[in-house]
Amino acid sequence: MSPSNGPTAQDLTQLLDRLRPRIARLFEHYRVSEPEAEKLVRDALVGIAYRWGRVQEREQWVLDLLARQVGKQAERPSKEPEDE
Amino acid sequence: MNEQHPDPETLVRYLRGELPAEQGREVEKHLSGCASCQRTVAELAQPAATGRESVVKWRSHLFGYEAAFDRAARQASERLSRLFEEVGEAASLAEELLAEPEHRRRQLIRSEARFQALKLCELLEDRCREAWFNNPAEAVELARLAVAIAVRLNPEHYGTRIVEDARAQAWAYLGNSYRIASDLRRAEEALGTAREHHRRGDEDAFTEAQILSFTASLRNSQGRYGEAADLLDRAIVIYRAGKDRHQEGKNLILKGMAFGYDGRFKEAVRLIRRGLSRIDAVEEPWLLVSARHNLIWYLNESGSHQEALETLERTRRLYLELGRPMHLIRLRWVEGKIAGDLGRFQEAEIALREARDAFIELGIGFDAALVSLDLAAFYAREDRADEVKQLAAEMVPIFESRDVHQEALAALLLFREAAEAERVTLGLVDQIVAYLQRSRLDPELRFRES
Repeated sequence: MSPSNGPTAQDLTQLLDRLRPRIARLFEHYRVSEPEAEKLVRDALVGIAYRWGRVQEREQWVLDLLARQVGKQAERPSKEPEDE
Repeated sequence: MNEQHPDPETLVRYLRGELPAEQGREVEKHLSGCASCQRTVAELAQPAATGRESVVKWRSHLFGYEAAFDRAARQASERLSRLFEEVGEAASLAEELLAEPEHRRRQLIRSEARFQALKLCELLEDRCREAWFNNPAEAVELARLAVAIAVRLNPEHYGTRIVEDARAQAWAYLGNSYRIASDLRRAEEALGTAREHHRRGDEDAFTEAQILSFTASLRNSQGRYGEAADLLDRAIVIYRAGKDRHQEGKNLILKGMAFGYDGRFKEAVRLIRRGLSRIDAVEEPWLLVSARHNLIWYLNESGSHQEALETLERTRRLYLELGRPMHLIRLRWVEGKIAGDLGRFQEAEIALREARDAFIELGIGFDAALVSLDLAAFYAREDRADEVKQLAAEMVPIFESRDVHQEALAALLLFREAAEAERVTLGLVDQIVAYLQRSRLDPELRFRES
């Protein structure tokens, strides 16, 4: 990626703005915590920034990525409390 | 069920009765067939009496995410500016690194953090891709440097998923470079490592498609054409879903070539045509020339000699304007084959001899051997045993000093013996040609005359 074919900060903000309701619904469904939501969205935005030139369907790419990530997290067994 | 789910705000407005009548009916219609949205609405509507408490709770959750989203966007922008700095530095770092002797390059990557940069890694992959065409050994070295950098990328700086994806890509490039350099065992191992990193990373679909495509090329080299076609189908689906027409076209062409290697020439022609209609010639001009060359080749092999000739005439300018020197030699080769199949023997002989001599001059023994065998088949068809004998006598000493491995040389010696005994048949020539094509990338493969 070069600066000429990469996104600007504004491009990323606009992309996120278009996706906010859908991402919020996804996170709500999987009961994602706020700190985790922040990390997931940040990494997804950085990820799409790296692939800006080659991904045409950027909104879908971000949503697919987040859905995979929260889906994976939901599959992980929760930690049992350890015996004293 | 409708494909488009109503967004959460629409559902909230639906529950509050705030939607216009027609939109409300659409939401109801969707809810009647969508279990997922029914669950969301049921959750939002608790307690049943008013729904208000839950709606308020849900909205506050949404606003909580809003703040998290804002922070995420700010952090991503900060990383973006660092990324742009890297882009600017990558070219000079690459020059500095590549100016050093090979052993010193690795030392630098190990010891100096400035070389442990993602953009440098990607730049080396770009250079590696260019070297695939004319210098496989250099391509391997560049890919190994990219891997050396990728394994040292700092996950805290780039994020774990980006780093894993970069490692997957670097290993995939190394795998493809090994394949081109005829080291199929290392190619298999490297592509396996690429898949492992891809699984650990964010499983980016385009990286997956690239690994699938490289693995398909490896399967072609191993003669596992059916598997290659299946892998390419999966890559094509990904590129189509991502609306990347160029890559979709490229992989259709690769699938066509898998069919071509397998002798399924008519299907190969159909797929290459479909691929050609999708690729962007500006992005990869050589791909256009190579694809049209293969189209001409398979048209001729499928018996459509006249159509092959007409397509060649329409492509001649492309060969001259966009092609590399190698394309021009291959042009003479296919011209000779078509001319021979159309009964224009003198023309065929001249073209094939020119192509053979040009390959020999460039030290490309394998292709020179294949052209010689085409010429031998042409003489055998004409019952010109003396010319076959002379050709065979010329072949062995030339190829002894080229890139032809021992097993292939043994096959050519067998051909010379047959020529001396005047028992060269078209069947024998076809067998040796098929063997040489496969053994080129598998030097341990032995020729067995059936």
